[in-house]
Amino acid sequence: MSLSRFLAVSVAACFVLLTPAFAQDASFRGRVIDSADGLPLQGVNVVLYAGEALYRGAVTDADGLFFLSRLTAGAYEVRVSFIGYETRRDTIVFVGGQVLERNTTLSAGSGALDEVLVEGERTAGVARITAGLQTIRAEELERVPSPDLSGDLASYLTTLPGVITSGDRGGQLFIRGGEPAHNLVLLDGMTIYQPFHILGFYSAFSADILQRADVYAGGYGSKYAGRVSSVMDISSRSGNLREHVRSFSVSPFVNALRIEGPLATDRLSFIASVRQSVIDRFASTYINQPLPYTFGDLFGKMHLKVSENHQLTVTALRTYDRGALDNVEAVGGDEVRWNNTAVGGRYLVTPRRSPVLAEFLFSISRYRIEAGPRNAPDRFSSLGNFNAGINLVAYVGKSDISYGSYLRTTTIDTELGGLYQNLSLKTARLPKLGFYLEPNIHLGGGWWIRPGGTVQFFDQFGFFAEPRFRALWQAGAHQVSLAAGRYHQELTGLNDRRDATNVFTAWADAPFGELTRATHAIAGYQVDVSRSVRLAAEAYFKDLENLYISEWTPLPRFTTNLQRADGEVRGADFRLEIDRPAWSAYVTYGLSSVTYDAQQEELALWFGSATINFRPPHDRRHQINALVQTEISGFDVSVRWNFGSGLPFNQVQGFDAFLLLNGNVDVESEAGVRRVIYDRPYGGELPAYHRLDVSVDREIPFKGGVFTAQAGVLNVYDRTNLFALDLFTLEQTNQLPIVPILGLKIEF
Amino acid sequence: MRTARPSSSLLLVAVLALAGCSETVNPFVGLEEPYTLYGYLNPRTGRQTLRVIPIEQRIDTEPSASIDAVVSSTHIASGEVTTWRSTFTQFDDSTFGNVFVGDFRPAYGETYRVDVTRSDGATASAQVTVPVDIRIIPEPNLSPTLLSFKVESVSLPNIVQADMFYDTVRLQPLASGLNPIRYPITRSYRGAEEAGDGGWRFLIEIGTDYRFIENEFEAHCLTRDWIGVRAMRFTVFVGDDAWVPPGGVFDPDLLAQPDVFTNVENGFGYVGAGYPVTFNAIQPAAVLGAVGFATTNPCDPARTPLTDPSCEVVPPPC
Repeated sequence: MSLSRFLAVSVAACFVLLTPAFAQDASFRGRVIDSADGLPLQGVNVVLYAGEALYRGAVTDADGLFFLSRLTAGAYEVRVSFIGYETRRDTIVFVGGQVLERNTTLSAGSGALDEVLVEGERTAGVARITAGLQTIRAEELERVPSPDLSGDLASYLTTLPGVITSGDRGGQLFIRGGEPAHNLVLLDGMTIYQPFHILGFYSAFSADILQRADVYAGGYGSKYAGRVSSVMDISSRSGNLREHVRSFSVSPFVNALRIEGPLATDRLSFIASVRQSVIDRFASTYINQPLPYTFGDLFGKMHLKVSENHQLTVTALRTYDRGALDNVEAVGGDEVRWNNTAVGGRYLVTPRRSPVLAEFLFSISRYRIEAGPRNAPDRFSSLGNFNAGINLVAYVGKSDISYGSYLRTTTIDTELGGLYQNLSLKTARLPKLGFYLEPNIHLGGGWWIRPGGTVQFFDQFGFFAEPRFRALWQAGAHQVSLAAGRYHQELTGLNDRRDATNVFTAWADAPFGELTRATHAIAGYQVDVSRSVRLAAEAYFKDLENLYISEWTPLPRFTTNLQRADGEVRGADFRLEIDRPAWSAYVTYGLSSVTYDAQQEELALWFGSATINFRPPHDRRHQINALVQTEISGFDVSVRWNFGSGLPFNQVQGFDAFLLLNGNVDVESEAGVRRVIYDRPYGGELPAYHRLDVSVDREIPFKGGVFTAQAGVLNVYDRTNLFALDLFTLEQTNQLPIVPILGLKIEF
Repeated sequence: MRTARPSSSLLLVAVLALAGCSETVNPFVGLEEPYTLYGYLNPRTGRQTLRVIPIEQRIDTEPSASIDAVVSSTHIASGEVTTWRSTFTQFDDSTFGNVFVGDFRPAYGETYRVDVTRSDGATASAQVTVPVDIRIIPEPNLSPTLLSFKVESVSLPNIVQADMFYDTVRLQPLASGLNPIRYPITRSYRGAEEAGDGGWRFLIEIGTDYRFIENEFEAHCLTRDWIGVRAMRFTVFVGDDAWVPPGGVFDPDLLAQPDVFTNVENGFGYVGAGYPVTFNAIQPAAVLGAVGFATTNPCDPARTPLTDPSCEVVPPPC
């Protein structure tokens, strides 16, 4: 089937499914917004009562929308409740065949959820993990001590079990065993290839612009395709529809400015944010250590309420990073720099006559990374992505069906400067068409299942069908969740991880014609021990095929060959979360094992087998995170302790030289090349990583605004945590030492 | 309870201070092997050379003239021991290293043991049998451009290397005159041997070699209008029977792995035995002209560019 024919069939299928089903049933839908800023409220309970008996309920989504379908005609009381807002009660009457639409505005107050009545995937809170999915809200980011008054998604993610980072610098995130290139990051539907800044506390997603992030550490559903490890589906905030708000913050690390407000009250708003690092000028001075890092981001979004049933948002993001990770004191040494640019639009439609939600997406993303000598990089890789898609949700009683289609084209342009000798890269173009279907079926008895799948059609690689499955069982305080799926990735991120300071990732299509593949399986359990104590545990497995890694070579040289490997990830997460009125805390523990099997003909000669099994350098076996937050005399105090067992590294038996003795070689003329006599790959283990961070914030309201001051200390006990060890010079590059943090923010 | 507070605080401070201590990382797992050795015993010379490389704990350790090593060789049949002398040699790349020299001539077909001993007694050693003697015998050309050489000995020798060498010269015409460029080109015939009549036979198609040379010139951005040759030599290097790389190919990426190709006990590297034999294979002008080589200078018949001493520049690849 040709690409155009497949596209035609897909679009036709979407329209067929759009036709209203169950036309004689009543449907009720609407939108819940915050009276303060006119923005949608997510997670609001909308519950129908027939007399005093609970009839049906729903929870608002990220757009503040709720849908209830297949309702019996009659009169009901509707209660709309949300923590921190006054509950709204109203009486409504449904007529058969009617689609009743009613929007609700909630005002801040002392209200609480009437009851947790609505079944569905529980969200919010570190222990609210459902088959790999954790939803993170902006307010949660501020709980983590970091040199940023607003909080940042990057800092928060490092508190989650199963998330391994390259530390304070590098911006590399490994999620449940996957490589950074295996993570799909979406911002309002736009692909962002490297949103994490070079300094590990920061990403393009500060709490100032983030509405929510759905982080799937694995087992993600049919809607997502193109990556084999994780998905971070991030929704940004829209600007305030009712009043202008400005904020400005300064610190020795980053300065930030945000402006938002209505262009037409309750109809058109904007939000713009800019952040610029100053760490190389200020923080490095008082730390007395070179920190040659420059990064920043610009974000803008327009939100237009075209009508009650139509909304349009346009989002744009630009990020840039630059710095030296190796030999930071050298003048004229190597550095890496990258930037992202993305622009996208989202058109949301809730047709008046159908219990359907339709979302049209369009975006263009660009990414470029360069590495090499400062001002004259000799390696680069750039990606361009065009995406057009449609996502639909049809509501059928307590169930719903998600389905959609997309057309994506990725262009690749890579110059490696000879890094991989057996790989010739060129400009490549990877168009693909995809279609997915995922019914969310309520089986009763507390069971929900989401069987589904996605098919992807590539010009170069043909068809790939990827079955997916998610299931949820809830009974009272208990929840069991399951997920499994098959995944393919057509883009390969090549990174020479022989060197921890090398974060240059070259992008290519499948280097040897084989796509990277993965199979995931997750089983989780969570329980509300009491109203304030939650426990969660989750076990996971990932089988990774066709990974591409640097070939094992004893010659200390920049260039190498690429070789194929398979990986296996096994692990379990444990989370305890306590929310008391006066304090909150959580402790997480992650147990994980990542192993790679590398295949290379020569390995049979070196190690007696053509396959070697080893721990890749991101295989952190144990992880503990503990965070406590409380208020003392008007001060918000956050304390975080982070522990990670040592990462694998290559040990060395010694250094000598190698001469190619291939005949008449004059050993008095030929010097040979220096050689490293390595022990078995990644057989050593670096010391454990641990650190204590403390921050104290104080908000001082004034007429028309709030002034916030922050003070704190990172790495309180000045632990020397290793970032990289140069095996040749034994030079150690460490993570940040004890660092005082200060910050001021004004919002008005 | 108040009295407990200072001690609790002290305990906390002590815990934090201890927690802050850094742990040293030792990336070395240690190695008993003291040396890596490279060299071969050559029965056609009375001066043997062996590169001795101490295995170090740092890559930037500079070689020293006073190396802690004693090298000796033993003729297994007679028990005769020769002690080698240490030299500190400057290589072609201007770096230095330790090369030991043994002033003796090993005998064809005999077995020798080479020992390199450190002052603490650690010894790396290798035992090798010198190959038998061979002769290269030219055979009548099978055609005007197809040369045949027979490598003859009492048994089929191990051919480690077989090369056809062409000392070519290209006259680069410039506005200012001629720019003669010397370009020595070697084409490997390793693995091309055929067994027969008590030896190996090599067939050299010099027409094919001429096209190989033309391609080399093109790879260096040199036009192939006028390519002359001033010397042709056929060389084989005969090695001991163990001098065979895994997979049959001298692949540096593969052979660089220390354990892959070594005969050194308690050490790395390779100590072989072998010798080169060269046959002068320059052909008559008629044969050279038939395959495409220039036989006269079209620009300046009065001069002979093939012997012009100024044309000693090997062009860099372009």
